[in-house]
Amino acid sequence: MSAHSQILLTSSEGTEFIIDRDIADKSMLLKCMLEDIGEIGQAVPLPNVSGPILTKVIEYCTHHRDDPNFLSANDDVAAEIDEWDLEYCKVDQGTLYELILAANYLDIKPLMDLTCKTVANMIKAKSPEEIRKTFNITNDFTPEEEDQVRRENGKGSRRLS
Amino acid sequence: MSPRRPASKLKRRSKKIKNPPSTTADDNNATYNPSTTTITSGAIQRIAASLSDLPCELLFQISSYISRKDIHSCTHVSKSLSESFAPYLWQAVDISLCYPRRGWLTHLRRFNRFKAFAIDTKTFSTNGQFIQSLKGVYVNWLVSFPPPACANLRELDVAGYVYSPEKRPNPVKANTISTLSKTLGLFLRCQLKPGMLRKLTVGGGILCSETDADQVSLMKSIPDSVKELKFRRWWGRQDAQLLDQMEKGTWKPDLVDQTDINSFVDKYQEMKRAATRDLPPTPALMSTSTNSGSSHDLTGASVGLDRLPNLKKLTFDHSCIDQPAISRLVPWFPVLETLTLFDSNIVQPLASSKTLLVHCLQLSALCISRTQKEHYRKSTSLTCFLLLCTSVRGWNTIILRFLEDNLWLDLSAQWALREHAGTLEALFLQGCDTFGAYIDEMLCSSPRLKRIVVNLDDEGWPYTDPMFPGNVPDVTEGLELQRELYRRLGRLTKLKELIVGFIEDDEFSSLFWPTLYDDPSISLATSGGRQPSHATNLENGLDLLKDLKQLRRVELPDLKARGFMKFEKDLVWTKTHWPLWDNSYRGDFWDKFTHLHN
Repeated sequence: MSAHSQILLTSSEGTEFIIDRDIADKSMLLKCMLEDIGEIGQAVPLPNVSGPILTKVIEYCTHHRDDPNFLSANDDVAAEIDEWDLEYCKVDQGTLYELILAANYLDIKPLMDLTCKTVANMIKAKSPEEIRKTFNITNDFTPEEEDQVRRENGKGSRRLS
Repeated sequence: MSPRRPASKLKRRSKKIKNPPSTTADDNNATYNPSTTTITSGAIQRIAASLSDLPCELLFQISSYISRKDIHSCTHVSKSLSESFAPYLWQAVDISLCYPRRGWLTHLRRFNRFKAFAIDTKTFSTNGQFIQSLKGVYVNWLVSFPPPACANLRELDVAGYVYSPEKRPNPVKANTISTLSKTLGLFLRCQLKPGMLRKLTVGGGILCSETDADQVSLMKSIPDSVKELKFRRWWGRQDAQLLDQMEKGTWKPDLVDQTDINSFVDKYQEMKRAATRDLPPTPALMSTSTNSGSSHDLTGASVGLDRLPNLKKLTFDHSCIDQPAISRLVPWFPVLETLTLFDSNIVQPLASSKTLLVHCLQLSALCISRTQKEHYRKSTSLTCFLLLCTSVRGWNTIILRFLEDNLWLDLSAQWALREHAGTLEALFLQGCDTFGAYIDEMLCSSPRLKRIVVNLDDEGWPYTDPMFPGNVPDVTEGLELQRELYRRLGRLTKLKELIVGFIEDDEFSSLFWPTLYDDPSISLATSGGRQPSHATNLENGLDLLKDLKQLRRVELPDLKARGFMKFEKDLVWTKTHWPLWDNSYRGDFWDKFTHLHN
């Protein structure tokens, strides 16, 4: 088994990516697949991941290539995100959601944790109006509905929980 | 859980395209080229354009990073977010937190406020299905819950009337007990989805009915899936005289003479021998038991059909249990494994122990504990001794905390503990002022022991003679005692946790005591006036523990204060002989016995 062998991936648009085996192994999906069927030399199609997103994912895996704590890196909920990761997540929201989905699909847990944490940080300590602004969501409640939600989840649950 | 809405998704998607993505991503693409990548500049199809388009499991992960307040804000943002996040808001509901904790407010006021914000707004009919854990509900409120609400409950904690010496039950309230029991029974039978409920906690005496028939129907209403049953603040309701004695501190456990105790112990040993021969105790043996002739005994009525097949754990918390109550309940628990008493008493310990011995053949974990403050609720040596003689299989876990001081001088209790040396796997002793060589001996003669937590107060261990705390052996003699102890401990090759030392707090959660000893500059003379002792190091006998390959955690008196593990040779030795040792290891074994006082 060579750590230097390379894997061919195809993104949703058909773009081909050649990556090193040890980088592919960061993804549990690819790792299990490669272990199961071996390296057949053909491209692995990833119909759920677009080219730019795959580039970003590979960037993440390459940066953490030699990280010994890769799998447990983000386990601590309260832990600070390190600087490189922080910079890495400075992307527009659409990209961020796609990163989450891609990480979920490719089963790269640390990237999942990182991106979900980033979204969580965007929600933290904001009022509903600020959240709408941040995520560009329109308020589709009618005044009556809003009132009802406020009564149900507001008064009730805030005190209930 | 949260249905996707194709229409709104489309709307958002088109909106998103109007806002061009920021350039950061493109910059990264431009500067970064890990291998041969060719990026076609085709139109990027957005899969998820908005927060609310993410699948449930991902929203769940996000929700785990933010506070309840933030989740609460999210439910106000838009309809789809409200649908997605409301379930997380409602998973665990504790109504008692709605009220300021100024003692017990009157139930009436609680009920009115509850009605005001919960029932009138029909909150429970829309969100009740998400609730998995419901706490702090007064049993009367259950009537008002709209039928499908709370069908998915896994944990229910209901309060009843409080019986205690401070709060005398008045006769009117006592009459309503049966009504309340019926309410609870109806709720359990009709509202819950079968197979969901795991843990049931009831306050007051509402799980104990006045008549046998009511009791049977109430017990039948408890779902088979319940694994844990807990009674809180249940004081034997029938005996005003008893409450009076408790209040005045003149209460004594039932006076039984030595012959009764002896015959009970004989019977126990007989049953245990039968069990160790791998023969199940014969029905004949069981039927010879005299069940104290109580008219409340249900064994005849239930004829082996009515059982809770999964109930493994029974807990009494701040309760005072009498024999009639025990004999009504216990036949329902044939597979009971864990018996826990927090700040609780058993009024007729001999008769109650007999009932347990006969009906609960699977008992294997015993936890008796009280807080230091409430002296009038202390369990007596006798109760402790008798309960120790109820496990036919032999206890594998014993937890005794803050019992009467003289327990350890009581030869019968020592005998009862030693009876279980063969099966014991975990032992937790705390707050025992005097304990001595016999405990050492017992610790060291239980070959299966995996976990030992022994708190000693001010006395060194094992160098001083516990029977005579002032009697400090001379240097060589003390050293020899210490070596002898480590030699014995060294034979317990299954040990995972060895914790002997001063435990600061009386709650399990803070039983870990290293803070005091972390600072080597604290001189021993100032650390609590303990007896001078020999350093715990390899030269003085610690190397006799070299065969404990399973050890994960070690706390011994002075281990850190004297600088062990700070020297290179100690570290090398530790790595070689204790390969699993981990300074930050915190097992969760004891967690299931933790208890927070309500």
